[in-house]
Amino acid sequence: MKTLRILTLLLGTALAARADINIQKKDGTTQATKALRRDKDNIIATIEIPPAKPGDAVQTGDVGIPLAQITKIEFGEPAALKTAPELLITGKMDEAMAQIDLALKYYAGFRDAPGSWWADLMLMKMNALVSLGREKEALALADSMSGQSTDSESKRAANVVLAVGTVRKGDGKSASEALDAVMKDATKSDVLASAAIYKGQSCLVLKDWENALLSFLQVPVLYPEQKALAPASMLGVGRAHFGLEDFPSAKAALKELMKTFKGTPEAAAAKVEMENIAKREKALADPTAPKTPTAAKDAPAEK
Amino acid sequence: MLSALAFALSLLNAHAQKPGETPADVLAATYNEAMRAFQSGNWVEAASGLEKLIKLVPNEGQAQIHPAYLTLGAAYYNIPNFDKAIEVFSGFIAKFPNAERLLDAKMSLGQTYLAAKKYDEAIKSFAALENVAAVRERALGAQALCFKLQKKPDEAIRVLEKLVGADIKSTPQANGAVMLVELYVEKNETAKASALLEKLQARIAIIDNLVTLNTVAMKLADGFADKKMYGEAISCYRLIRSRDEVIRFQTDRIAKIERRIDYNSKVGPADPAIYVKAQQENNQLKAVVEDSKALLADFSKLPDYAAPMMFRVARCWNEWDKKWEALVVYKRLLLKFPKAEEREPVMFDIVATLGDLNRIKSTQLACDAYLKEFPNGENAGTVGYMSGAVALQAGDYVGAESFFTTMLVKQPKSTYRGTMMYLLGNAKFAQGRYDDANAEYEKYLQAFPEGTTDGAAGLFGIGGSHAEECTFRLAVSQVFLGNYEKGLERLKAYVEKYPKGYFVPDAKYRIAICYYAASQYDDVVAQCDAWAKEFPDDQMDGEVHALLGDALTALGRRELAVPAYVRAYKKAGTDEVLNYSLFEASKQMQKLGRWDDVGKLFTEFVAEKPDHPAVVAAMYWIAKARAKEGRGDEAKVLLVDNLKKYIAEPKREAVEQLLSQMAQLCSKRVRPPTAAPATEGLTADAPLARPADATEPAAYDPFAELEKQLKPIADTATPAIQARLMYAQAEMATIKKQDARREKILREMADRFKAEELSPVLLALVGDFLLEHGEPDRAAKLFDFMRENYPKSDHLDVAYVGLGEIAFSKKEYEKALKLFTDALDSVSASTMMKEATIGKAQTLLELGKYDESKKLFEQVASIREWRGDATALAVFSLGEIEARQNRFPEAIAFYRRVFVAYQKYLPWVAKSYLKAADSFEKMGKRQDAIANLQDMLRNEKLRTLPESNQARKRLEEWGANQG
Repeated sequence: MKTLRILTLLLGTALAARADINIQKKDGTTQATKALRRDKDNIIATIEIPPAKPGDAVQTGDVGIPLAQITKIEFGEPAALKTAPELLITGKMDEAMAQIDLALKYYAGFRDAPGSWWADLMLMKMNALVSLGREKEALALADSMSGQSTDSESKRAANVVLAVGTVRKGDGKSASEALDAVMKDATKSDVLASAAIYKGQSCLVLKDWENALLSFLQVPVLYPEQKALAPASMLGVGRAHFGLEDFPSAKAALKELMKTFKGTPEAAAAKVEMENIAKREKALADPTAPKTPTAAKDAPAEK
Repeated sequence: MLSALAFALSLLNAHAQKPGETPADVLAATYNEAMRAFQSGNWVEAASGLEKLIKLVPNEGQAQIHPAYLTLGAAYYNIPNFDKAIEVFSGFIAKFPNAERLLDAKMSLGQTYLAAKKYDEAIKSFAALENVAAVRERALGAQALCFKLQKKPDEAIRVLEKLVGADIKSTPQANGAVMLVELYVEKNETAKASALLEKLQARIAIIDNLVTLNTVAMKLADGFADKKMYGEAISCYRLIRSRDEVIRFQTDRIAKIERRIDYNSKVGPADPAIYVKAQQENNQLKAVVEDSKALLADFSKLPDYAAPMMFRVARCWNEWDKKWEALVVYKRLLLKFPKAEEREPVMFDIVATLGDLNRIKSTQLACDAYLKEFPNGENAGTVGYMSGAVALQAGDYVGAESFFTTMLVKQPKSTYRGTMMYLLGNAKFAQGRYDDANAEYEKYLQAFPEGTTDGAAGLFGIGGSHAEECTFRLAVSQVFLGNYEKGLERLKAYVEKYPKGYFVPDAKYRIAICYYAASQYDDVVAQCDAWAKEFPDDQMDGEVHALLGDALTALGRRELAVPAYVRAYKKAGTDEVLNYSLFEASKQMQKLGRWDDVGKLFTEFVAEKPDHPAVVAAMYWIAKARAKEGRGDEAKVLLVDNLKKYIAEPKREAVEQLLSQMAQLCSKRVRPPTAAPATEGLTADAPLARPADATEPAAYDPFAELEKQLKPIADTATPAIQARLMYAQAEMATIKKQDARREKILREMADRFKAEELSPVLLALVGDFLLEHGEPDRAAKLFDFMRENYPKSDHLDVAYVGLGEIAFSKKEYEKALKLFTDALDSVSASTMMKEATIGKAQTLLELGKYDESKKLFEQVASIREWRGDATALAVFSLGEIEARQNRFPEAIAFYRRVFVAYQKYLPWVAKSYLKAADSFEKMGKRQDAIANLQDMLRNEKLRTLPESNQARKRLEEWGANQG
């Protein structure tokens, strides 16, 4: 067996993955492609025609593959999904939005293709819009996404954002229920993390501070890779701690948010929240009028 | 190879030729036979055939058949006959230094050394190749492996670091990185291991063996956790792929290799060099597949590790003291793996974590959930104990009692049985059910006479031995029950049994109280003095001196009582004792006519405790003392000075008290002081004496005087201060019984000031005013603001009651119930206790909770201080409760009680007549109903009320005359 291990090591190069986009078909085969485009219900793939035998020249050609025959198109993860969050958390919202939009433009043609990153990009865009307070735009996108999506995970992503509208109407209960349903079935980290954020917000509306805190904390604890949602999570954590009257924790979370994610809309909201906490602390700490004196001798034993 | 064979033909040694065979036939046959053997894995035959072939070709033709050497070496390698393989590959390198496939030979030689465990030679061979770009990665990887097998981790690490470099781009690099992580872990270089592991995660697609990577990550994570490096541990745990993911990944890798094998198999022998290479590769790949499948099979047999790993992650958060984060993971674990083996410890951890976070209600819910699922679980005893303990801690004594009672039945052998028995007693004690509590303490002492019960010393800071405390509580409860003789006896017994006991100072203080109750004041004085000597620094000094003051007062020794109270307030451990003693001292001074001392007492208090909440109230008394001494103007100056100091602070609720006093002082002209001596009967509120020779002064305008006094404040007043100054004017209007003026002022306050400009007292006042005047929405805004911003206000219950009434009027009964309940139970203010109780009772009535409602209305009706309209309402409502349950005779009895006993409260009388008639009608006694209404209409006082019209209308409908 040791011999076999040695060979594994030596043969590695031959097995290295290639950068081409593979199409996994329902018949169990995989089609390597050089480029893709959409034509109605077909994916037109530019492919290399393999040589009849080793050493022959490689040729290329187009082949149409009906969407219905495709299990998955192995698109590489769009760079925007990595770079836009970095921009979002540093407050460069316009730049982030431009990158997301550009990527969305490419994936618009493959919106309903399995393996497409369109839903991921859409969710990121909608979350960014919510964060910017442009909820109407986010809700309009979610509405159209819900109608256009064919796969259930994309529909869930749309439902997550649609729940924001319900939260903002003050109906925390309905929003919370809708988000619970999403979280029960969702599998993708971005959908789950977004649902956790809005579930947290719905719990805040319901003044259910404990569950709000547990929801917001899901992002750093369970989905730390969802960096774009970190400011919203931290703001929620601060607010939930505030609701629980745990002022030191609330202030720590909000200070951290202002320091780490300077320039984000959440950092601005954190500043206001800090002022509210200061007011509340003052409200609780200020002296009040003396209570009516009562007979000391009847006071119960103090240990 | 074929062209090489053609050339070799010409050089073929003739003696190898059989008769009838051409040399070409011999050579081709030998070659083909050897290759067939090689192809079918018959390595010995292949080697033999190739050896024969090589021998057939003379030296000058050897160069042309050099690829055959490599095939021969491969055959020996595969036999395995490493020595021969080494000989062949070495021979090749020496013989054909310029051959096209020299590099292959060198790599194969190194590989054979490695397989032969000749690591030094292998290392040397691979080291020579590490600068050749085409084979660099493989050469470095193999070198590292040799060092690893030689147990030279430092050397292996050095080589692997060279291989991995800054960026992992290829599979050999990734495979090397996996090995490097393993070595880092072994060397305890956890930071490097962690960083590299993270880098690898981004390149997961090019890793060959995810199983190994996962194992390494797990090992690394556990290592971090053991070292309490929780953050690092959690990061590593996160990198571990799920079982399904690993299986899927490995299956895909195997499929890929198999596809490659399939591709290689299609290569025909037309080009022997390519053919042999493809065959060699396939042999190697088949071995890889075999190895990978075996690994995968082993891995698939392992139980799923997701839940145990998640549990470890949760524990890391928990031990890192990030409790909320731990809860997130615990809860996710329960959700994702409802049948996990870890369920019981997870549920227990949730209980403990919530307990640590002091989330009382949630802890109780978690305890319930645990005990429901694991009534006999490993931690059931602790959870049972905790369920009660947290309730007790939260002040939910009824809940605590219920939990402990249940647990003692369900878990008779619990480790915490003793502590639970003791705490059950405490839960009952805290409810004031001293007899029941005592029964529990007795049971405890019977079961654990020595007091040592369990090992629960750490739980909630409650020790394991409670005998002393039970004995003390048994004694002190008698005092609370008013059984002073029994109490005295038991307290003395306690002191005798535990002369150095923790509760001895308390016990001796309570003994003195028993004597006080027996009116043996001299004994009380003696005992208090003795106590003060015995426990000079005890925290109960304040209480004891307050008691001493009380005893001296009772003995009529007011002069001596005063210093006792003064000491009591100075030594008081609680605000309650401080306030009591301070104001008792003041009261005794007033009774002694020592108004000067009253002023001094409070002046000293203010100087000593300038930040105490009672300071503003003290100012009130200082000013009052001045006024009593005929120094009214001085009092006004003092008030203005203090108002200047505190009027901008909305939370200083005594400011309104000062303003009221100022209005009071300004309501009458200030008279010069009287020379009359102080008398025992003089009270603080006794009217000021008027000098005998006073002449009638000019007309006096109290409002103008008030305005004049407050002018220094008004000049620079903010809206918030202006609101308070208007309050002073409203107070003056009240004193002067100018209701319209007061109404006008309050209306202006309501319209002119925003919520944030009103102090809590004014928010309550204006909110109430708006509510009374039919503006519930505006009132609600003020009340909400008050709740949010002045949670400690002494008038906060006004907001709760106001909001409760608004909710009630909107038929939002659940909301109203909560508000009224909070007003009674959660809010410390008690200015609206009557209204809150009535509100709650009415809400319960509307919710159909008749028993609870009845209990509260009976309470309202029985409180002497509330006698009046509230009593009439309560009795009427008791009738309503009966009527709604169709118990009409009982209802009528209550209604009758209203119009017989509470005639003064006309609206209730009128309502009761109508309701009584309704009840008669429902009982089928219309004549009685008619008589009842006729009786009502005979009452002239009721004629103007709307209920009279209703009565007339009903009589008309029934065809009866109006009486």
